[in-house]
Amino acid sequence: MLRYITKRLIFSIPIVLGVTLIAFLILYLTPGDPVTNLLGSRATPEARAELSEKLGLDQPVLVQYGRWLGNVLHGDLGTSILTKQPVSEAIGSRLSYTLKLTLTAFLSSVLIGIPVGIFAAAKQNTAADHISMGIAMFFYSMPDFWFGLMLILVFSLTLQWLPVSGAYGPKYLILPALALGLPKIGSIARLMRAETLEVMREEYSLTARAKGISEWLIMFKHVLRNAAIPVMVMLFLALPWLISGAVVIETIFAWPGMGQLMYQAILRKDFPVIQALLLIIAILTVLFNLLGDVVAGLLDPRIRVK
Amino acid sequence: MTLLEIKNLHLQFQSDEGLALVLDGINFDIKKGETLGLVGESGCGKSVTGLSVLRLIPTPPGEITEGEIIFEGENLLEKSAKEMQNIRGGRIAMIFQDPMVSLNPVYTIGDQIAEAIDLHQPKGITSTWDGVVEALDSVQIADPESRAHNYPHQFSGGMRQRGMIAMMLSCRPSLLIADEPTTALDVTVQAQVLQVIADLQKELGMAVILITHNLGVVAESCDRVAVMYAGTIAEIADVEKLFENPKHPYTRGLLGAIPRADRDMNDLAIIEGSVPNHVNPPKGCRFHPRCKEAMDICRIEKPTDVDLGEDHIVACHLYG
Ligand SMILES: Nc1ncnc2c1ncn2[C@@H]1O[C@H](COP(=O)(O)OP(=O)(O)OP(=O)(O)O)[C@@H](O)[C@H]1O
Ligand code: SF4
Ligand SMILES: [Mg+2]
Repeated sequence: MLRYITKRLIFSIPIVLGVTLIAFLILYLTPGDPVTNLLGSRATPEARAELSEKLGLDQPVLVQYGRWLGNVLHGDLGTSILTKQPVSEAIGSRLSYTLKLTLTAFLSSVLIGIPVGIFAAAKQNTAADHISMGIAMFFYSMPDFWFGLMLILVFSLTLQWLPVSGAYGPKYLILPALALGLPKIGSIARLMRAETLEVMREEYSLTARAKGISEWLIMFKHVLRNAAIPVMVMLFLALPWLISGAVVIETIFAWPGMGQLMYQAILRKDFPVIQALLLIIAILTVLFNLLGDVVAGLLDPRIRVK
Repeated sequence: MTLLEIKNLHLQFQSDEGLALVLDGINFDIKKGETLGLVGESGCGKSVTGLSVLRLIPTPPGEITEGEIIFEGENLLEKSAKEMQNIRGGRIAMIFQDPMVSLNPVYTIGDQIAEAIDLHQPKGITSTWDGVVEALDSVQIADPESRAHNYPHQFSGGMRQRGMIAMMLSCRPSLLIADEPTTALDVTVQAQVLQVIADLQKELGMAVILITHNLGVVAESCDRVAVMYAGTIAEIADVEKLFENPKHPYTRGLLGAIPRADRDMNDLAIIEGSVPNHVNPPKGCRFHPRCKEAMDICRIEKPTDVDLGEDHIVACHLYG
């Protein structure tokens, strides 16, 4: 298992490099540039050239990329073009906010979605199944920003139970986490139900029954352990998406996380910040993928034991 | 002494095409320690007969609408869910066709055997672990102590089926229902698996219902045979009697078309026509559209079981 993990980590290095390089090229090719953003459109060509040189933007893109990569390897993510703040500092404080938001959304959607999926599978084709899956389908189909706006409308503006925006305590976490988590509850519940039903139809479930095991034990010992394997892998694959999905929700709720930072950086072409954020997302994606595979390996001896 | 007696069993499935009468009043019995072969074309109802005995028919869509299943003097159809759990794996065991999919991939073979032992607490076992090792040993798995820690995917097909037998027989049932236990296996290991079952049968004094397509297997391993046709039992007799002197036109067709008894009946288009569907079965005798000896009464009236003496039973108007 350890060797497998090491191997996977080594293989993931070119993936992370590739993602950041592509991001570099895309930023380079899209219209707009940070110099205009900083100096305004009426700046003299001399002033523009001077600033370009200072930021290294006059160099060929691959040279810029090489320089950036060298700095990253030395632990230097650069300085924000806009705020002059070191990028690592700007991201550092925001990363914890984003993780707090996404992990709350993730854990609560898992804790709700999984039992609902199991329940629906156990009550297959009953009213309880149809109703819970109908709700899950609705959650799954609506985008998170729609939930964000609806939650604000109901709980902040109408009922005035919870604050509209900001991050000044646990109360502020509830609505953005809900907005982010509700669509996930839908997809997790649906997937868990489908996987559970599939395993219930497997012949080894019939074997367990023929052995005299109670329905309850069959479900919790024989069925769920198998149904959990694909669901776990999917959850870990989805986590990085959840983090990038936070861009919109953080903006709506003025939640001071990475997503909000990303939004502003993209608007103003703050290259160093965008680069650093993409690097972090790429690394997180690779890590969570690996974590998903490790968990699958722990649950499934066919992967673990050769 | 009669161990199991099935009386007038009717089973139906709710399907998209309508109500399928999958077992249309079957009768048979099996004595202690005896081996009864259950043969018939694909879809005739062999597996559902076995599953009915253990009350493992999925309900819905399936439902046993009529009949009795008397096991050791008690009607299983009147047992509670809890009582049935004690009987399954404890007094009646069942093994299935494909050992690749009938063991749980995430638990070791030993764990899966231990689960049965812990559940049924068979007599004469000092500890669960001893029971596990003994069970694996009894099916000729070499080095059972370490093999018990293997997962199913680490076993070959034949070993898995023997592991399955070890698990199901670890609690010393008095009846084993073996649903095509060798069909999915390599020809080379089929004989070994049948031998393992036969050995344990002798040791435990257990009766076996052996469901199979293979008449060679029947000739070799069974005391009696029940020939099924489209949800009915056409004929039951001792093996020799059935092979030498088949009475039912369907059995005759089967045996007459097979030069040697070692052929798989599904491989042979032995009798013209195809198995009727269960939703709109032929009236009267379900075999009449394919029967060369069909008479007028066959199209109207369902034949009843006729006892020709010496436990030779046939359901056909020729013998009314
Ligand atoms: N769960 C189910 N739902 C609906 N119909 C079923 C179900 N299980 C079995 N049947 C029907 O019952 C009939 C008998 O099936 P069964 O599996 O007992 O056949 P079999 O004799 O064992 O055939 P084979 O030799 O192919 O195993 C078939 O027509 C089948 O379609
Ligand atoms: S009852 Fe009639 S149709 Fe059926 S097998 Fe006998 S002779 Fe043939
Ligand atoms: Mg079958």
